[in-house]
Amino acid sequence: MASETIRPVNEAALHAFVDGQLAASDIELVSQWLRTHPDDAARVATWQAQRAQLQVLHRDVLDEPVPIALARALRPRRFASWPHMAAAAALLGFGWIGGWATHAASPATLVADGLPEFVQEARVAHVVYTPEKRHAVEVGADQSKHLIEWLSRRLGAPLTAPDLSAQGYTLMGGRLLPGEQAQSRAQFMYEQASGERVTLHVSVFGANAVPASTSFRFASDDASSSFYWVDGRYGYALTGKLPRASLEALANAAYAQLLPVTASGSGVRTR
Amino acid sequence: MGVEQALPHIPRLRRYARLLTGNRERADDLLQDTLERACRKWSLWQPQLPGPQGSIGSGLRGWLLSMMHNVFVNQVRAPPNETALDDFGEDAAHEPFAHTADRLDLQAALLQLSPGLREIILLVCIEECSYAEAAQVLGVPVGTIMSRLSRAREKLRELMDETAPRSTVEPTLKLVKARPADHGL
Repeated sequence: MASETIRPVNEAALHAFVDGQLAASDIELVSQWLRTHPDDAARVATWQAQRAQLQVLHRDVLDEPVPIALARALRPRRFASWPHMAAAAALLGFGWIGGWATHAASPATLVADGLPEFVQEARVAHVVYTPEKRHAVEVGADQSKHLIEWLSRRLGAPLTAPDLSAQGYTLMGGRLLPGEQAQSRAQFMYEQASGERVTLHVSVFGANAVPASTSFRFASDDASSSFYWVDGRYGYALTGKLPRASLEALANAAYAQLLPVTASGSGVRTR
Repeated sequence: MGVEQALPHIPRLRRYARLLTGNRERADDLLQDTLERACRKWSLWQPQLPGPQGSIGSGLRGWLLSMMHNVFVNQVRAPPNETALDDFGEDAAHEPFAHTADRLDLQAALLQLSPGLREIILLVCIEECSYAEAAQVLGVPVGTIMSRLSRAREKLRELMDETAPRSTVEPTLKLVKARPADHGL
């Protein structure tokens, strides 16, 4: 009888079979065992069905934007509370403490270290995603139409990914990111032939949360540099690890392409 | 690189916490407490150099899962007033069309498992941890993982059989079928 030549299979091996954790050499052994032991085979089939059913539960959560409270939980604690922020702002000599109530309703202008919130988000996202080899973007530039439509829909306003090929940077694609107030943000990533990457982070602010319009501003630390600007309801931050002049050239090119469509907030847009 | 490396792990951790607690708000609270704990303990995290690529036990995700386990254990010890099943009803009401009846049954069954059994089945089936990684996350020996996994699977089967008298988990695997030649044995 063939089954007598099979080494008895213990229950741990049956679990490992279901969970894909058996050594390759043991898979055939367990398969043979199951062919001749219908009770074990039925148990294994039930476990496999359980596993498959469990794996589809709440998959929707994976596609939801991350609530800002969760992303914020990863922030350094320096300016954790409103009183601290107010105190810090006072120390920094910001002139708008008198208008605190109105500013509290428009946190897009709120800064911990002098940078607008959306620029801080952009810089964190740049550091997190540019080193990615296989998952740098969610949707690649090969599906650029879908990319733009998807991000425009999620941000609630028409977006454009500027063409930076004249500056030597190719669009890789983009991804959806969480922003303050549970809003969605977009990140477009570009790459040079050398592998150098820059990101353009796009925010679309709510009607009563638009920061004051700014033309170009520059921010830099050890990790990266950013040019950022606010235009209508849109906030842009171009971030990279480049010398200031090179980054500025890229920012100028992006700015020039984004300007006509954002000036009114309802301009004609290429899709 | 600081603790913001944990950002890309948030969506998966959210789903895990959601299935662990059965409730959207409590899941996000659990995750927020976990991330805050991770911030406080960040200096303790050391990526272990050995270990296969993508192995979660030696990576940040495994570390975050073990942080969540510790927070979860504390919360289970001092549970809030509502029962898990009340929460489940509330959860279902929030998303009336998001689930089929079968999925609701399975989620209800999951919540009837003891927290320890629920953790192990989620780690193995959803997070796809190896048994050694699950042991590391939960801080127990691998033998304990195997016995809990066995109990969790058996209990889930019983619960699903109760809620669905006409079982929806009919064995369909090819392996099940005995070859004709074996029938006479």
